[in-house]
Amino acid sequence: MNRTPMWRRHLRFLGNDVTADIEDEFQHHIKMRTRDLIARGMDPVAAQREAERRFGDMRQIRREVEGIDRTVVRRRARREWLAGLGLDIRHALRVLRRSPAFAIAAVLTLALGVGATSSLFSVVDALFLRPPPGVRGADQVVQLYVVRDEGNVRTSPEGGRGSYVDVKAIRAGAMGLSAVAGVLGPEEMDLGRGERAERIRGSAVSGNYFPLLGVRPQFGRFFLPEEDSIAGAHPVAVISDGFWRRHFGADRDVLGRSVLLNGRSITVVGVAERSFTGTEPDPTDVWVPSAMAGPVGLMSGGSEDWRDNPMMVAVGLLGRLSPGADPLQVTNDAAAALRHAAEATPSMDQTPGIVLGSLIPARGPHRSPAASLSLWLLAMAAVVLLIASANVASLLLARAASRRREIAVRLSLGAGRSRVVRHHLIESLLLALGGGIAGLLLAFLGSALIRNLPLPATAGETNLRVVAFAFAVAALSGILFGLVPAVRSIGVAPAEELKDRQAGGRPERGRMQRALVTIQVALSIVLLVGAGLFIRSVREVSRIDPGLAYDRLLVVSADFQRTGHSEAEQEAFYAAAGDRVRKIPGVRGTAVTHFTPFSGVSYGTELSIPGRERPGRSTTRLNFVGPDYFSVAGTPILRGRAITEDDRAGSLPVAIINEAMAKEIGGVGGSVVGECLRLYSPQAPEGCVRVVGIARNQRARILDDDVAPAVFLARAQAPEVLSWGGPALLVRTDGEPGEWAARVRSALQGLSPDLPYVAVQPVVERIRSDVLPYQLGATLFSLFGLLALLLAAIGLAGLLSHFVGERTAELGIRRALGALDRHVIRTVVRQGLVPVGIGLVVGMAGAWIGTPLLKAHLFGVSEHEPLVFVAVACALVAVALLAIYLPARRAASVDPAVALRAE
Amino acid sequence: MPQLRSELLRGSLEVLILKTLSWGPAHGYAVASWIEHRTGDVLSIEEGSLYPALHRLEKRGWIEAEWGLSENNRRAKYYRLTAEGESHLRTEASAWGQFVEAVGKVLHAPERPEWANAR
Repeated sequence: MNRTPMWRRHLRFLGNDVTADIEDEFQHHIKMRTRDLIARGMDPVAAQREAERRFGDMRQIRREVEGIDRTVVRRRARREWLAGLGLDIRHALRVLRRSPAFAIAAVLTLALGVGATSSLFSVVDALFLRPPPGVRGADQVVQLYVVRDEGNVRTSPEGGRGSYVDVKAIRAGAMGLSAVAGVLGPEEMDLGRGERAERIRGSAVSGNYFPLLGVRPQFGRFFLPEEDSIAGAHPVAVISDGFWRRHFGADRDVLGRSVLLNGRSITVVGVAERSFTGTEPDPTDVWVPSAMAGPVGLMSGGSEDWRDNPMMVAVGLLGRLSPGADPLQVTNDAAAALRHAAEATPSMDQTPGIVLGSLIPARGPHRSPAASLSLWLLAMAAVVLLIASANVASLLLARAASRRREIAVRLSLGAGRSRVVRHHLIESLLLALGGGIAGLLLAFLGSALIRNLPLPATAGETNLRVVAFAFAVAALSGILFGLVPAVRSIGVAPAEELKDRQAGGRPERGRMQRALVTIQVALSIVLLVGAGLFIRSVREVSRIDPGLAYDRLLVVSADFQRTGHSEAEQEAFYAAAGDRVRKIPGVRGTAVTHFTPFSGVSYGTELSIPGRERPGRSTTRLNFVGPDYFSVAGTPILRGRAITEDDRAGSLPVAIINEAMAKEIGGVGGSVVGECLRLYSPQAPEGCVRVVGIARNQRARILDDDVAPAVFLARAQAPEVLSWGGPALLVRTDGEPGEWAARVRSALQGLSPDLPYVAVQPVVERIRSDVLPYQLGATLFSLFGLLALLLAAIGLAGLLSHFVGERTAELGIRRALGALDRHVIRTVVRQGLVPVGIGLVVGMAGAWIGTPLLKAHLFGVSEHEPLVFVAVACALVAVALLAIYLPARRAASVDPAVALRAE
Repeated sequence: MPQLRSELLRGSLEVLILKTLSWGPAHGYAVASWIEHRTGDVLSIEEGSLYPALHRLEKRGWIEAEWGLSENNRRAKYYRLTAEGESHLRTEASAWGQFVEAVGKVLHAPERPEWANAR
């Protein structure tokens, strides 16, 4: 064969045109054959024809060969592409390593955005996306929410619950449901007695509850159909895995053991599979059949079976759809079944209906506020991520501007524009990867923070979905912010760039970055003003004087009624408890009372004042207290005296009234102490009760300054004890209530082997839910505000670094011409303060306009509180100056000689 | 001798091509005509099997290809044996040799087998 010229050999043979090459090869073969045939004496035309004939079906052969070749081409192309990618990645890493400050800033910025979003996604995941663990085929399980229409008004029983009658009705009527179950609870219950008494959560469920869900038992079994039939006949229970571990120490021998639930002995027949804690938002420890709900105190109602009573509306309804069932049809059937059942009980004149919802509570119509809040937070975090991405994009742009020359060189050396774009994207994705990993770490730390917020305990769990989400989000933002400089760099004209040696950027190129800084500054201001207002609200709430000293106060109570004890035992306990607790060093005092502070429960009665001209009767709140109550509660007595030990049965009936009551009966300047009151309640002494003292008003709710008139009677003097709402023991301690609660509890639980669970609660916990909205607002706005501020600072620093970098030559010249340090610094500072200043103005205006929206959620502070606005402005300027400082310093240290030489 | 159908050749085609190329690089027509010439036209290779076999061998990495100019000054694809191809050829050739010897032993057996004597 002849040697081919070099350039021909280098042409790729399996190049872009596989078909053409194959064609060439075959044609060559035919030509050679023709030549040989001619050499053997054939006529040229015939030879050609014969050669073609002998070749065979060219089309088919070509197809076969093409198939083989294309595989080779594909494989080779892939290998080369991967090699090219590897090169690009290594190159990008080198480049990033050369400017570590930029890389760190970019990764950190992204990490903030990805971290915030991932943390909140894990919460949203827990609330909305994850079905209760252990449920099989969860998308076929529905919750049936009962709605009732009264005329034109739709009301729903709380949580869309129904009665057990509804469960039975729907079971019979709805054909599209293969199973229907009812869930009661979970409620707090006492477990055991005496020393080892605990509080747990118990539920009563239909016998088919577990089979409906497809949950499997770890040990033992679930309920048999007959165990759910006759009320009280089968005291059995299924326990959760968590409870099994906590209470039984994961003892395999748990089946057949009994526990005391609210004083009733129940036998354990099964342990549910791991991590199944029921279908309600709160986790359940123990399940009993619905037949046992009455005996264990989950449902009151005396002798009748509560399951036949349509007025006992407390049951959650679950159903499993049959395969192929139409949800709409099921809804109609179920509603019809309810209506049919309602006809049998004409007392309820509401038309019942049904709404189907997902098994996941947050997805249903009765979404908890926490769930809605988490969605809002996720949206806010997404905004933060967007801002972070924009920040990184601007950082990248700044860098790209200074690398235009390098890009121009690469382009002129023959790199395709697509290569350049690819390079930018790889760099961005590498940053995004770093941001994703760092963000996940932040999210992990952040989940600890989230656990302190009022969101479900399972929130903040970093599972596989969250990790995938974090990386997906990071990659998405990586592509987003990577495209910006990539697209810009396409517009680089190599010749022009190489010609122009001055690195002085055109001024409008920084416009986007400056706008970005402005936006971020404005956003930070709005958020921080909100934070400031909420923080003030929290402060104001803590300064409220509710008429009692709630900070070092404990409430000790135990449920004697539901657990089958007598009133005498109850009284004995509280007396003994008071004695026992007073002996603990650090306890300032104890007092027995019926109603406790901030309990949300109160009792009222009518009263009249004999001998006064006041028309008719008025109403008053009533409480029954023991000696030392007022000193222990921290409620000052303004006039007269408090209840003492001398106020017993048989001695003169006395009463302390509060200021509101005193005002009502005081009349004009008359003394109220010594007045006689007549109380119309079976628990109050008969006849005249003498007022012996006036106490400061006590607020029933911390935020409610409207106090009702109240009368305090001596417990010992009450002819009859109120059977609900108390009593309880108040304990005043020296130190922080948290550790004291445990100490008091352990001192009391062992007082007698027969005691129900003794609950000790710091009073301050009771106001937590009232204070929470303000604390939440403060925390969230502060968090997001600081995030936005941080991002703004990074953006500002980046902007100015770029500015200084671009003008190195110009600054060098100015220094050479005699400009002082401070002149140079002033230039830089001025450049930075302009966007900050604009952002400040815009932000302040925005905050001024926006805060009235928050008005309903603030407390004790005006929505335009000037102190807050001023403080935020000062903080912002301080941070901005800090962010400007470093680049300004760099500018001032530019050596004129070096700068000029670089040109 | 009748021309053997190339069905019989299918399994051995690859080893024949490899052996042909072991003499030196050649294009597809050269390989086919050399085999025909060498076997006195007993083995005639159809193009329908030749070119797929050549490309398959190339895909497997036993031969590699290069475009050049052929005798009649046309663009032609030349194949050459690779190192892997060489070692594969050695194994296949020896396997073929053993096969041929074994077949020959059966076909040219000098004596009757024992079980055929009782007749």
